[in-house]
Amino acid sequence: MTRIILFFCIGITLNAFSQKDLPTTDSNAKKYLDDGKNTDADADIRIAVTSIVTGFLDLAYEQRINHTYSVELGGGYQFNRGIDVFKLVNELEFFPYDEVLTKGMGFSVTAKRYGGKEAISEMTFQALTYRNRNSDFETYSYNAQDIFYTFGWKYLLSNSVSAQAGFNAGLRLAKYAQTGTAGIEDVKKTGFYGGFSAGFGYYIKY
Amino acid sequence: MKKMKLAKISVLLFFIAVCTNTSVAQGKIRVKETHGDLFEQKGRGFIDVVELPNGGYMSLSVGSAGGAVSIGSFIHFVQYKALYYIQRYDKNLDLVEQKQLDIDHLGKNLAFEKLVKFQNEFYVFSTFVNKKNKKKYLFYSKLNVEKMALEGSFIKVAEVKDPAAKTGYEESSFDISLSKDEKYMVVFGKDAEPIKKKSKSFFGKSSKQSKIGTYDFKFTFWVLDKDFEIVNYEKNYAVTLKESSDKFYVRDFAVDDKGAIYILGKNNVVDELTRAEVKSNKRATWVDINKSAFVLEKINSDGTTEQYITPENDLFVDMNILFDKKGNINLVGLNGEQVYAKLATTGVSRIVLDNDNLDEISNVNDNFTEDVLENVNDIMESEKAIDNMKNGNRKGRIQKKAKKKLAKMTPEEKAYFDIKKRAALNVNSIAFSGLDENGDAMIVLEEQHLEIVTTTYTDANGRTTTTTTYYYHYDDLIFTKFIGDDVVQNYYKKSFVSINAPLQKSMDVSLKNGELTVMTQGHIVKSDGDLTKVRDAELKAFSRSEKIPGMKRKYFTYRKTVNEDTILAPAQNGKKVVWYKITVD
Repeated sequence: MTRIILFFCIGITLNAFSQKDLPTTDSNAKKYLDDGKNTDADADIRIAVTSIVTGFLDLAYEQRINHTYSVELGGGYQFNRGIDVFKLVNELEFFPYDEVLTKGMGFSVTAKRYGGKEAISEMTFQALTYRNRNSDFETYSYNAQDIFYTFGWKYLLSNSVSAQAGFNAGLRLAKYAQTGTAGIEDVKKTGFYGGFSAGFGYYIKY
Repeated sequence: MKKMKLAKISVLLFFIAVCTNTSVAQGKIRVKETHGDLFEQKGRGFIDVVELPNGGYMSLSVGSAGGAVSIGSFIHFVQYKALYYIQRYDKNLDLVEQKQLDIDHLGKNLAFEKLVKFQNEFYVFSTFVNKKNKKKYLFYSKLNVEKMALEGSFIKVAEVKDPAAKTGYEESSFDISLSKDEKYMVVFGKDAEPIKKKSKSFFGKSSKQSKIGTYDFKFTFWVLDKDFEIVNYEKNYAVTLKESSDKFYVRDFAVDDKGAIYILGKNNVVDELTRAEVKSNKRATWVDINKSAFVLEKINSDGTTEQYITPENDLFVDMNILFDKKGNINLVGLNGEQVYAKLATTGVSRIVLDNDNLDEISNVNDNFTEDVLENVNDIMESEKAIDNMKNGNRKGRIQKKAKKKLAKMTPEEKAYFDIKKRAALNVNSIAFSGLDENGDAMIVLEEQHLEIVTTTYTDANGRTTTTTTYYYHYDDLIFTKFIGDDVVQNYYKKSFVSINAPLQKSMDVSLKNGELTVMTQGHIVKSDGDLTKVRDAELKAFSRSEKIPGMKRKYFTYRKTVNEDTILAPAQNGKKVVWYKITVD
């Protein structure tokens, strides 16, 4: 009896070995598509690196509306006089430019359109931005309203860290206002605004 | 890598190749040419067109979104994404609807691999490289033709190793093939492998290519039945020969109606000669082709294998697998002879093997006929004179010139001069092979070669500019047919040159009632059943005089034989497209 059971067990084992271990097709695509990368992000929080040159620390929050469009709200704090090329171009002789910066703030609103239904991840985008920056000095203030178009690129550097770069071109409406001494009228200037901008962000998936 | 591919496609599509075209046939045939209405396509280039069960047609095209800017040589901003579009047409090829085909899934960009008609349904196969897992996955999804969209889920079928664009690695790849009765599908997968330092093959071409077909004989395969159940699978399968360390390269593969798969591998054994051997033998080449055999391995669904190796002393240039009605395997190939480093094609062969045990049933070989070679090799009177002179006939002025020419020839030139009478020098692969209703095998060959011309100009200021022009020649066709133990041959003389851009496809071939129909660049060529006559018709569609209202010029970059009688080809100019339907009477 023991022999029969033993032969039976050996038979089953050999049969199991002779059966091929075949893989199966799998409808759970998520398992294979999950590479840890946040390519389908809902939002992006970003710091603009190039704004530091102008003395501003700009933070932006971008919210995806659908796979093509997004909106972005930004806020900036001026910590330094910085170098603003477009301000230097329009400098007025009678303003005391060497004054100390007392306060500087700004905000921006941007509408973005991405190509290839790739909002807001790795793709090129076109954007239209309205930005308002105000810098207060000891005796005067400088206000710049920029309306500009951007053609840019979005990259996913690691799983969630993003980078953005873009070329801007538009219009600057600048206003110099004397705050310390009475009698000097405000001066308004209109000119070109443009250049290159870049920043780093972090993708959020809600 | 995907970006690079897109950039290459864009360059090819925008490139205007200047071409010349001439042809000579032995008679004329009638061809019906109609076209649909002009429309603006989404995307840039067509990647497939299929006939729908309702009599209409469906095409797939590819375009891209994104852009790139470079500042100097170091700063590059690049983002591209391939976009796929689907178009539906009525039976007259008038556009009914077109829309974007979204193959993205769960926020990931999948790459289109292939459109497959299986069990009367259309399936889109797509791939995704998962950098975290270092794998490339193959998915399929059903295409709803009416809604022109994918439906249901993405189902993973196969996977291969892929270190995700890591430098020093060859690209991983998949290939899909169906059995004749569409009951089985085989998926071949090749892992991304490190690029070997020494990557030159004996033909002098680099062996670094991305598709299955040129790699060492190691691969993974999945055989799927009609319900997409995997019924056979082997990982890292390797074909081995007893007492041999020879290397193999996959040349063809197929799945039969019983689910068994066949791998056809080329086995090259090349001796590299030493400097002394080259010098002592007065050889200009550094290789000696000892073996150019083909190995066919059959892998049954139960895992057992059968193997067939072509006769050891025969050198084969190329070979294809065909199945006849009995299920027997037909290996149709090109015989070769070594001339210095090149293997010249001297004839054709057909080996019929028993489906069960791969026993040889028949083996028919034939060299190219004198008539065919004289015409396709353009053997001139002066060359015939050299031949006469070598045979002792030294009379006449032509012979005098011939003597001088012969004296100037290097040993290598003399060798090529001699082989010209036995081989089609510019034929290196089988352009088409098929079996007709009677089981007779037919092979179509095309002469192809690349001519590189470097020109240096010096302008008035002494500045020197060097330009390199690539002339892609697509010349004469050779038709061969195996009728029992007999081989009949004929040829079609043509000349076509594409400058600086190779053709995506140089010809389309269909086989009906034992007659071959070939669409070349601007001509339809048809052979009769026993190849006694090869006739042609010039296509008006390709002619500049055939104007389409609203389209200034026409460019043809794609075409496909959709059934035995019908070839579809889109005429394009930018985004404007007109589909031509060419029907052979």
